[in-house]
Parts: sequence; C-alpha cells; structure tokens
Amino acid sequence: MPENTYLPPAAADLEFDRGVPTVRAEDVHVRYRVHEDTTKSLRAMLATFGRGRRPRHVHALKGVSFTAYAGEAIGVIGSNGSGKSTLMRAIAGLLPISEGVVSARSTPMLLGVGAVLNRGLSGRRNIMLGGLALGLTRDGVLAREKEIIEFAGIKDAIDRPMATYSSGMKARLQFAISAAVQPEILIIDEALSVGDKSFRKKSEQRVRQLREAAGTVFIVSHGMKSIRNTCTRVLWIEDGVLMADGDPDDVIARYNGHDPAERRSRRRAARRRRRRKARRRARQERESAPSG
Amino acid sequence: MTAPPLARLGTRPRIVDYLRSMWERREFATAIPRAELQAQHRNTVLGSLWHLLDPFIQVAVYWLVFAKILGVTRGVDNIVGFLAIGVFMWHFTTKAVKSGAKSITSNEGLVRAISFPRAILPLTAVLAEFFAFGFAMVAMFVAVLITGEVPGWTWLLIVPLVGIQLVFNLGFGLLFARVADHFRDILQVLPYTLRIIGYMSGVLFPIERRLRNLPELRGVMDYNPAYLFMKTARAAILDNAAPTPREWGVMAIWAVGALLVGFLFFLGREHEYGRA
Repeated sequence: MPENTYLPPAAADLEFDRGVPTVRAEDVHVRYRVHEDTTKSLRAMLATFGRGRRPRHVHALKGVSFTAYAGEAIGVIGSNGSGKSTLMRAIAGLLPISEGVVSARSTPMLLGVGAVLNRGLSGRRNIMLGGLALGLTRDGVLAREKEIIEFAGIKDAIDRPMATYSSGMKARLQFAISAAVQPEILIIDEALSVGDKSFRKKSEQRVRQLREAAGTVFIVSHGMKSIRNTCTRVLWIEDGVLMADGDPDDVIARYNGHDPAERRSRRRAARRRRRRKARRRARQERESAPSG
Repeated sequence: MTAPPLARLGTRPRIVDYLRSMWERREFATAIPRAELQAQHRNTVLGSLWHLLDPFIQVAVYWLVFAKILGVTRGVDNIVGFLAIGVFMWHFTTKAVKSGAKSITSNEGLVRAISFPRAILPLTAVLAEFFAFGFAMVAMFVAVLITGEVPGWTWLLIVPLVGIQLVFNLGFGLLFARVADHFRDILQVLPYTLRIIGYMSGVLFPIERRLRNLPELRGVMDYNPAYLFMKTARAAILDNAAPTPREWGVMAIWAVGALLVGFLFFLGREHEYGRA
C-alpha cells in the first residue's frame, strides 16, 4: 500500500470509475482529551493552580468500519454529538485517528471552504481564494468563475466585500465554490439546508451530478427529506458506533424508531391524524344526517 | 483511467513528497498573505502606503528622541544610521518569528477545514514579513544616505546577509509554530523574550563597550546570531567593512541549523495541528 499523505486533489471534470472502492475505514477509533473549564475567577484559578483543569477523555468514535464506492451518495445521520462530524473529519484527514486505518483514492474534500474566505474582500476575490484553497490553479479558478457566480445566484454583489452579504448569500457562494471543484470524494456537512428552496433544489441537483460522474459524496444532515432525495446509502452513527449501514429507507426507518424525540413527534402526528379523521367522520355524519 | 489503489491517510509524509506538495500548493500559499494585506488597510485613507510610511516614521522618531532630545552620540558616529539598521534588522527577525509562531493558532479554522501541508502557514507568515522588510530596507537606506554615508561595494553584502537571516527566521518560525500550537502561553512570553535578547545583543546601543569588563561574555557574543546579524549589517553599511569568514560561518550554521531543526520538529506534529 503506497503511503502518501497529501494525495493530489482529484482533477476536475474527470469521469471516475464506477463501483471501485474510494474510501475505506477500518475499525476507526478517535479519542481525545478535553480540558474542562470549571474555574470561574482568577482567585479560584490561583487556588487550584495546576489542578483546576482536569483532562477528560472522550471516546468519540468506537471502531467504525465501512467501504464507500464510486458512484455512491452516502447520507450520514445520527443525533447531535453522535460522532458524525468527527467521522467525516477523520476520513478527510483533518483529525488524527487513535486506532484503525483510513485509506482513500484521493484526499476527501470537506466542504469547509468558509474558513478561508475573507470578509474584507469581494466575493470575486474570495472565489479565487477558496478555489486555490481547494486545490485549483489560478487559471482553473478563472475558468470557472462565471459558473460559480451564476450558481451562487449573486449578481452585482460579487464585487462588494463579503462582509455586506447576507448569511444566505455567503452560504450559497461557499457551496458554489466547493461544488465547482468537483472532487472525487466530497463531504458535505450540514450545508444542504442553507439557502432558499430553489437553491436547495439546485444544490441537490449538483450532488446528484457529482454522484453520477461516479464520484463519492458524503452528506451529513438532519434533513431526512434531502437525504432521501439524494442518497443511495445511509450510515447511522450513534454514540460513536455505526448502528446501521444500508438502504436509505430502511436505515432512516430504524433511526426514526430509535430516536425518542422523533418517536414522540410521530406519535403526536398520529394522534393529530386520528383526531382529524374523527372530526371528518363526525362532520360527514352531521352532513348526511338530515338527508338520510 | 485505471483505478489507483487506496492509499492510507494520515501517515507521516516523506520529506520529498511533503516538499513537492508544498510546491504544488504555492499559488494557494501566496494567496493567503495577499488577501490579508489587501484586507488589512482597507479602511484607511492611505491604504497600502502605510506599509512604506511606517518604517519612515520609526526612523524619524529615533532621530527625534536619540539625536535631538537625548543627544546620545557618545562613541557612535551616526546614531540614526546605527539605530535604523539595528532596529530594522532585529525587527525583521522578531516580527517573522512572532507571526510564524502565530500562524497555526490564528488559522485554526483553515487547518480544521482544509487539508494542505501545514508548513505552508509558517512559511508564508515569515515570507510576508520578508516583503514588509523590503519597505523597511528602503527607509533604512534613505536614513543612512541622509545622514551622510557614502555607498560602497560592501552595501551589496546586505543581500546575502538578509538571505541568511531569512533562513534563520524561517527555522525559528516553524519551531515556534509547533510550540505555540501545543502550548499557547508561549505567544504571551515570546515578545518580551525577543525584546530582551535584542537589548542584550545591542539593538539600541553598542553592546561591546558594556561588555568591556566581562571578557567571557564578550566571547559568547561571537556566537550570538542576533548580535552578529546587527553587527555585520552595521559594519557593511556604516563602516564599509565585510564580515569575517568566521562571522559568515557562524551565521550560516545558525541559519541552516535552525531551518533543519525547525522543519523536522514542525513536521513531527503535522497531523495533529488544529486538533485541540
């Protein structure tokens, strides 16, 4: 197995082989230490100097294994704090893993270009900055600039500083920059929920395109609808453990059955449905009574 | 396209591969400081002109305080030239080391979101200070010419001298970038430490005379890079004297040693940056 940490970012506009493995996680564990900040004042800090900050060990991923193939769009679901984002950052090589192996055909790209963008600069300059950050060349960015601006749906504002953008505009620009790069392996963490309805449609469309070009797309989301719309497979993570891996409908159904909050809301919905039905029946009976 | 095999991620890179991937990302590397520079003086009237004005104002302040108000010229022929060269040469190192040290911690968001060879960050931070030093050089030579120094061929020696110092800065920038990522408190201590080293190496006054009665410390000075950087630059510009081979040697060894140690030390934590 060749060992190379910085694989070149996948060249754009390239047809990838369908059905070959692109990412493999084998028994991945992530543990880290956090310092719990319990001290409240300088005095308390001095009093407990050296003992105040006790490290706590967090076992964020407990042996996750899966293999992703070219042409798959994989939804990643789970409750808040279950380890979804940790898993994604681990396979993107952004977080050191404590045990296990992550291997990939090219460095998976996390849709996180927002971190590079500079509020003081115009949208256009930020497209350059973000594109370069994601591994494009200067000419490559220039060639895609028009397409990115169009996709983001930002017209005259593109030459205004990004500090003046609305949060929706910022999010759209971010997604547009990342989607233009067309990486072989793309990770989208909670980004499909940004923007208005038409932009959401457009970005779901883009995800399908990427998948059809036989790349691999991971989508972390709480929006089960957009997961159903775009994904061919779903991973369900709970408390650092991979609970289920398979067909979206099956896994989502199991997840819904598991999640207490979801179960409560479904029960409530069922109750509402029953009540509505009862009301309708009563109304029908009332309407039919005089004639019958 | 034949399927390349899966490659393991997160392994310690081979140095050659690492350097190559840094080179491949050069356009990105230069884009970060450029963006910062563009955004920095965005809200000022004079804009980027401040980068040039700032060192001139500094020289003017030294002239005012030391030559006019305090009148300190004992034993120094050209106090303004002496101060300008000393201060700018020393600031070249302190600013580079400080921004190198901050480069990882202040770009944490970037490090957490995008994978790239992390050494790019301290490298560009140090290079950005090098370009800023270009403006300081202009002010330095203007100050020296105004105070009546005559150019000589030894002025050209400033080019290799600055080159050596740049390599030195790079090494310490990398070194402290890793230290600061692990132990952030160093960023609070570093400015004072560097300032004390500067004073003890003669940034504001000729340290040689203070050490006249301490011959053993005088010997230490011959190996002190901070002292040598300032001394050789002053000698080349104010006294038209070239550094001795021994001085070249000591400075070069410091520079190359710092770069090697700093780079390897930095690389040792490559995959852990931005973790905390």
